[in-house]
Amino acid sequence: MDPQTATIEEINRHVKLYLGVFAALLVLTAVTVGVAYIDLGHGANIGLALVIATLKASLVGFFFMHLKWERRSVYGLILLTFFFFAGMIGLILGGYWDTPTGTVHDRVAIEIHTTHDDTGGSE
Amino acid sequence: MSTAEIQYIETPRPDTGLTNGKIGIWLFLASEVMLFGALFSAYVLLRVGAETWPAGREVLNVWLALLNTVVLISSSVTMVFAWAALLKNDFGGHKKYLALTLLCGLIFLGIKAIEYSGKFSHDLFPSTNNFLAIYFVLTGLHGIHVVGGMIVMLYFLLFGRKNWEQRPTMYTNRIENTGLYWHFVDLVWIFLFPVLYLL
Repeated sequence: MDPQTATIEEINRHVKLYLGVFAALLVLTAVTVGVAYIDLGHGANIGLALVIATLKASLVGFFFMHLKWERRSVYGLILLTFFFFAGMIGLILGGYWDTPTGTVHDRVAIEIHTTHDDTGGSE
Repeated sequence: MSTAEIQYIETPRPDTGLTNGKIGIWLFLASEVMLFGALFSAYVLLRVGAETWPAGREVLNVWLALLNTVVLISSSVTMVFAWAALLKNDFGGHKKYLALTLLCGLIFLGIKAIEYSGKFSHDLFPSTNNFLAIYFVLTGLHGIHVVGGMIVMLYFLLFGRKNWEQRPTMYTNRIENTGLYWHFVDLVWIFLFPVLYLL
């Protein structure tokens, strides 16, 4: 909808659409809570919760933030944001899971473990 | 139009197809994504690095958070209605929906205050453990964003009429941009709720 040229009928149609999105968001919120109490396995519970949250976020973005009717330049901006966001998450988490073994952290952990065993043995 | 004024705040800029205000708010939201993204990463790092991690629903009040989710989603609807009312030249309706949005923000903060005081009364502070530390940081930062949005809405409720009467398109664009920010705050909560309270 172009705000400059929108007719009353067009605006009223959009208002109805917003109410539909509101109802969908409420249903998805109930589903989020419901599935959290069903034990699907740790990973599946997390994955499903994030999928539903992404779906809800998309509804808010596409309809309430008007992305469905937005210009291409906004999409370019969002794509750029997503690139940097994914890069940041990737570097931070990648750094955590890519820590090589035999680092100073492992040696400290081994020392703590050894000290703990020694103390335990002398008692 | 004076030369000192920011250009293209009423009509779209020919090359971007958007008003400069809208480009500005989207750039600001991009920086917000990085801010909250960094804190979400901190949450994941703390969680995967911990030997034990409490289930959010055993420590926090899921039902109060669920109520807050409904309140915030409702506020997004009233916000978009406030904008749609301006498109219909209905300033009275716009003020009503903007006031409702502000009220929803106030209710959200009230519920959050009940939650926080419940934690403090049980000696649960940010310093208690990593889970509570990241919980208070994320929800606290989100709460500050809610307050920021409410200040802008209060400004428009108190002083918006003059701007609407003199330059209606400019005012409508301002409300649309305020809405974009408010919906983003709602969007962040949509992720915070399951991540902190349910998983």
